[in-house]
Parts: sequence; structure tokens; C-alpha cells
Amino acid sequence: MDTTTVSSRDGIPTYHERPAIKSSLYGWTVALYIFVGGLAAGLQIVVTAAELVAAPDSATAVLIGRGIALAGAVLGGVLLILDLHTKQRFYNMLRIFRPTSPMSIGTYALMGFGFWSLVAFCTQLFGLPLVGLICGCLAAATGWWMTTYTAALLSATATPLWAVAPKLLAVRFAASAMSTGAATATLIALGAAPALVLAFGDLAALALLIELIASIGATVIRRRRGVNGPLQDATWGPAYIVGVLMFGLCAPLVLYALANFYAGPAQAMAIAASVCVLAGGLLMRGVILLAGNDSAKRPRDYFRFAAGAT
Amino acid sequence: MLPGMIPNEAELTAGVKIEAGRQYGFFTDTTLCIGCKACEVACKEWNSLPADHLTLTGMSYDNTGALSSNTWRHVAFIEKVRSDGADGAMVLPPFQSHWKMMSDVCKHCDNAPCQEACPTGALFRTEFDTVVVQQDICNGCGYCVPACPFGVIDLNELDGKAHKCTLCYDRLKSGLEPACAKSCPTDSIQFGELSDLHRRARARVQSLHEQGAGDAYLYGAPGGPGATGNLGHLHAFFLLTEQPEVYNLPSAPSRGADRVLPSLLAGLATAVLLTGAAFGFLLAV
Repeated sequence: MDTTTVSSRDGIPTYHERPAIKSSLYGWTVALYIFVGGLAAGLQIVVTAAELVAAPDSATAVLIGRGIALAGAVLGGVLLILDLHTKQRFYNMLRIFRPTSPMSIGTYALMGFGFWSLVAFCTQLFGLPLVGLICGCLAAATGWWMTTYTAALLSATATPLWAVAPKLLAVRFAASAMSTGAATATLIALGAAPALVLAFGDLAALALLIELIASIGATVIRRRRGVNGPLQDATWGPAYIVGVLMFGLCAPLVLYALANFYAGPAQAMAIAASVCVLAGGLLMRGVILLAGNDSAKRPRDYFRFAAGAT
Repeated sequence: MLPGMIPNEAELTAGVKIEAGRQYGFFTDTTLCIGCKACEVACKEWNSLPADHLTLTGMSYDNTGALSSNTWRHVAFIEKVRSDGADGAMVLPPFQSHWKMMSDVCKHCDNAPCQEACPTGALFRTEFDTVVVQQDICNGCGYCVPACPFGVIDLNELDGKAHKCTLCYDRLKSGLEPACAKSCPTDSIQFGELSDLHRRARARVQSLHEQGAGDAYLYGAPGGPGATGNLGHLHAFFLLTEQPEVYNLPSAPSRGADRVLPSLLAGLATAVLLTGAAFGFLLAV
């Protein structure tokens, strides 16, 4: 007898079209944290590199960069506590260390990054440049984790859009952290260290290029696994394709390239490119988070992902 | 009236003595489920869980809808129809009245993704090898919610904590069978020691095959569908007669923690590479 169940269209049956997994409760607060944490880490790394190579006239820019990185770490901690549903127990994050949980890894990454950023900024401010540099290096090293653990955090969930390409999501988040950090450094350098504007701009451009390639690769994987729906449908498709890919990646790439060849309006182009990178970096995190929540609500996306996971 | 609690009551109701250090779980045999929802009610009553919503879903006899922070057993109702749209009631064989019912519950995975995701240690493994949220520790970060590959654990926004089936941790500690299993009138939900349940379940599958129900299989038993992707076996496993997706179960769920290292390494490599590039660009100034 040729029988089926009530909701078995498209080859994959579902249970009355209901979600098979739960969506995260993360929204713009967490997206803003991922953006700010990544930017702060990227900036700390970039200004520490500038200090280590003793780049010309970099002292003021380095100090400003360290200040912004510290502010980012503090703001990041505040955003994360605000997102807890039992905020007064935030300190329970420090009860244990759980290496299987990127949330736990990230707790210590943020603590370490914030601590070393604070010491680096204060010692530099009060005239202990060598101590400042050493602490800056430690802050930059913990910053590497800050740029990337947020991607591991999303990929370790069952949400198809986040989990389907864990390595490429991490490449994108790390590259975006470095591009937003370099873009902020570019803006600082425009006022405080004009000689370094192009170097920071070139770094941002390279990071954008890596992010663009990883984004294309991730799209190919998502389409092949049948989980790309939320990024091409009406809700998030336009924001992702126009906002994130065109405005956030392609436009600043062109602008940074142009700034290398045209001496005249280089400043204006560097400013425009940096603003695009920053806006694009925030939008990318927001769209990935919210489209991911949508993808968890699509039972067929999850079943396709889960069927191909082994 | 009884003078007090019956010691080791589970020996009388489920034929099992509950002792710390052994593995316990549920075997849910969907071919025996009649959709009475006694498990849902017993769970709500024992655990003092409030009603979730009092509306009709409009899709079947299932107005519970899904597991949630307040609903730890959920009976799914799946109606068999003719694939050509013809009236099945007159022509389909009367097996199970054309309805498949399945009482869903937390799987208490061997490698539980919710526990592996929990940054506070609120989620822990008990002496009965079950997975429980300690309510006095959970700070409501919500990371366990998307981590669960079965959509079980949920955050209650009223109290700001994560909740799910405890496999009646408090009852186990007192030698009592979990409320849902004890209340199940058809023994569709069986509680016991895991190795014993596996034995019983395999015998049941064989017996069903002999009776002509050749599509019966176990979901979540060691090595079978559901016990995939490094999750290990599921402490709550099921006898199903349709493909897993029909019951809203993934055919091959996986352990999220296995994705952490590849992701971290790829991201760190990118960040380190770009740090090297920063030195290059700055040295060229």
C-alpha cells in the first residue's frame, strides 16, 4: 500500500512542518559583541605590530589604539552580561573551564584580553613603554582567540547555517576582526600617523580579500548541503548580498585599491573604505546570527544538514 | 494508608533497583503508544511544571507541539494517509489506527552537547549517568539551547534558566521509577538499567519483525541511527516504524564539540597569517 504521512513533501518528511531544533536566543546584542570583541582584538594586534616594528610617528596612534581596544573589551563584557537571562550570576562563568565549550574558552579569552589590554594601556600611559609593549604582546596573543572563538561558538551548535562550514566561518570571523581592526587603525592613523594610513589600509584590504574568498567558499558549501535558504530569501537575502558582500566587502576592496594609486583623494577614499568595513563587519555578524536563528526553524534544512554530517 | 515510602519502590513498579554508579534510561516503544498523554501529565504534576500554552495547534491531536522549558514529555501524533490523497480510512490496513504516536523526551546523550556547551557547569552528569541542569548555578546564557541536536533543552524567560527532563533525578535518588514511565498504561515508556533495556528492545524488534511489522527498528541504541556523530548511545532511545524525520528526529545527529577544534585552528591560522601580513606592510613603510 502506497502510504505516507501528512507532511512528507519534498522527499524529506517533517513533523507538521515544525522546527526540529530550537533557535538560539541571540540577537543584536550578541552580534554587536562579536563585532566589538573582534574589532578590539584586531586593533590591539595591529597597533602592537606597529609598535614592535617601531613604525614612524606611531606612538600616539598606538596609545589611542590600545585605549579603544580596552574600551572594546569592557563594552564586550558589559554586552555579554546584558545578554544573560540571569545577569546577577555572571560570575558563574568562572566556576569551571570547559574545553568543549567555546563559550567557556571565550570567557577566559575575553578576561585575559581585557586584563592585558588594561595593563598595556595604563603602563604606556604612565610612561613604562617596555612593560606596555610586553603586555601589549600578551593582549595581542589573547586577541587571536578573540577574533575567532565566536565562530567556533556558533559552529558547535546544531544550527545548520552556522554548523555546516565551521572552518570557513572561523576564517571569515577572524578576517573580519582583522579588517575592522585595521580599518579603525586607518582612521586613527589619518589623524595621528599619516605615514601608516596606506599600510593599515593594505592590511584591511588583504583581510577583506580573504574574507571574500571564504564567503564564496561557504556559500558553495551551504548550497550543496541545501541550507543556504535563509541567506537568499527575502528576509536576509538583500541585507546579506547587498549589505555584507557588496557594500561591506567589495566596495572597500575597490576603495583601498584606488587609494594606493591616487595620491589626491586618498584620504577620503581611506575614510570611506574604513566606514564600509566597519558597517559591513557589524552587519555580517548580525545577518549571520539572525539568519542562523531562522535556519534552525527550518526542519528540512536541519534534516539535510544532519543527514550529511556523518 | 502506607506508613511511609516504600523502599526501592522501582523494584515493584519497573523491576529494577536504582543504585548510584549504574546507567539508567528510557526505552520508548512507539508501537505501544496510544497517545493518552499520561506521561505528559505525570511529568507536569511531579515536576510542578506550568502549562505552556492553552491554544490549539490546529495540526493534529497534538496541542502540546514540542518539548520546551515547561514540557519535558511530548507526545507526537503522526497520521498515515494515502500518498495519492485518496481516503485512507477505508483502504489502509488497520495497524495502529493509521496513527503513529511517540512520546518524545530528552535523550540524555552519552556525549551530551548541552552539557559540553555549558560554560558554568550547571549541566552535569549524575550518578545515574543522566544529564541534569542545576538550577542554582545556571545563569541563563542560553548556549545549551542551540547546542542540543534534538531541540530539547529550552530557556524559560520568566526565571531566566535552562530547563529540561531530569529523568526524575529526585525520584531516582529515592528509589522511585520516573513519573512518566510509572504512569504509562501500555508500557510504551519503559524505565530501567540501560543494558537491560537494550536487551528488551532488541527482543521486541525481533518479535515485531516475526509478527510482520518488518519496519520496526531502534533509534538511539548503540551503533544505530540516532547514536551517530560521536554522540554515543542515547539514554532515552526509541523503537520506531517510520524514518526518524517523521517523528521530528534527525537521522544522523552529531556532536557539536567535534567542530570546535577545526574551527579554532582555521580562525587562529587566519589571524596569525594576517598578523604576519601586518608586520610586512608596516616594515615596508
